[in-house]
Amino acid sequence: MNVLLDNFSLYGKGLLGTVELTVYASLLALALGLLMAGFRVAPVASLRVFGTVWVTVLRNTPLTLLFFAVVLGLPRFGLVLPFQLFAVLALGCYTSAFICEAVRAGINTVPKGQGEAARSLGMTFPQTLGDVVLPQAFRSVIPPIGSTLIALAKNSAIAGSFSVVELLGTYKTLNELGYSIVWSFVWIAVGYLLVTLTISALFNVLEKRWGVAR
Amino acid sequence: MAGEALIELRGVNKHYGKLHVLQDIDLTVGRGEVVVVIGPSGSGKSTLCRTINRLETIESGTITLDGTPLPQEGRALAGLRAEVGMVFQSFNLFAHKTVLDNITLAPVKVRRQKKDEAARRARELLDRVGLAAHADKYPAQLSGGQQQRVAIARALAMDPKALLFDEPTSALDPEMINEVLEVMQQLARDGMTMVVVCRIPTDGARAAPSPPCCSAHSSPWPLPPAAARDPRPPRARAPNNCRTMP
Repeated sequence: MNVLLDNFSLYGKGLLGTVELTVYASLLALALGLLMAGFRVAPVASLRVFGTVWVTVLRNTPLTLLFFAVVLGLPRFGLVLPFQLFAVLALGCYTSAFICEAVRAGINTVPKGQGEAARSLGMTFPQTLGDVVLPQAFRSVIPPIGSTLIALAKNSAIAGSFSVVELLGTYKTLNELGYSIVWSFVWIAVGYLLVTLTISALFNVLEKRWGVAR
Repeated sequence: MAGEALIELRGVNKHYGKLHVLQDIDLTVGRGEVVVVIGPSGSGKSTLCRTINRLETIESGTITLDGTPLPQEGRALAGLRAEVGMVFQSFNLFAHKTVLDNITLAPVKVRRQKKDEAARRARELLDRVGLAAHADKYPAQLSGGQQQRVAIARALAMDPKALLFDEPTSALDPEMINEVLEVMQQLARDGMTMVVVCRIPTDGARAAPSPPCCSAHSSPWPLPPAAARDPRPPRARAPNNCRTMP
């Protein structure tokens, strides 16, 4: 218990760092994932290829490698950003590949005929997707997107190794101060639980609100 | 031939793999004409119907609508599709929208109509298909026949030049077929240009105005009254009345 009380502000800063990473990276991942899902079902072949390459590369690369690529690679091209922003980029892009596939699975649950009906009425592809397909796909992708964002929250721990303030990284300081490693980690775990259970609760509410009703 | 040609297919070919499903199809549909396409399952009736608004692509040949060749994928195609309504076998109503919203969606999004104006017109159309009381229900709350009538109203809301019916009664219980056919008959009497695909020729024939009911190569033939009671299989009795698929 002492570990927590003695280092409350350290834990607090770490937790805040993790929450910030999670929120910003989630927003980026959701936006990019939705866009890429749209690309992957688009009538334009080059967009489909782009979406497929995006997903294939990001989904099949270790996240740590992606962090290295972003943190060490981008500055070589003259792009120097705060480490936290690099971390959001890496996490967001990585997770967007998984969001994209979840959304695409949701798109496939909407009967094809409804898309055909929309097109036969003269609606363009973006209109068909935005007004007919996605609102229905959304309902079935709430649970898998929730899981993906929980994974993102936990993956944000990797950012600690790249000089970003986040929850897991606090153990180094605590260790140097001589606190029991077990209790340090117990409280870190509680911090992660706070974040992930909040995401779970949020998605439970979303699912109750939008998930059923047909 | 009834007036000038509105829909014209010339030498249309399409393969599904090795299956040559559309073989050099020529079809002319005059303005205000009702053409019934019949044939057994898998003979390409639906495919033919779906090529007219390019839900299916073709490999060779030409399709012109009101003198305009069918454009490639894109905005021009969407504009042209808005002129040709389609009614599907499985209704394909938008499950997440009410009956009224199903009908107003395309007029608002595609035709840029005002919401209240589109809603007013939608209620008129619902009244016309006998469903004025169901405007605020969801498709799942309606019977098949009611859903199909909503689908017809939805297609009509775009003020199309022609309507394509892809087996409109095949997914319906027998007692619900009539209510849909009555709506179709009324449309035919009002002069709507229609292409009706059906497995059972009598349904298509009943949807068409009498006496000239169907077209084979665009020439109207009178439907022998006995056709409805003809015990022979549809293919055998069809050629005299309707355009049949090979």
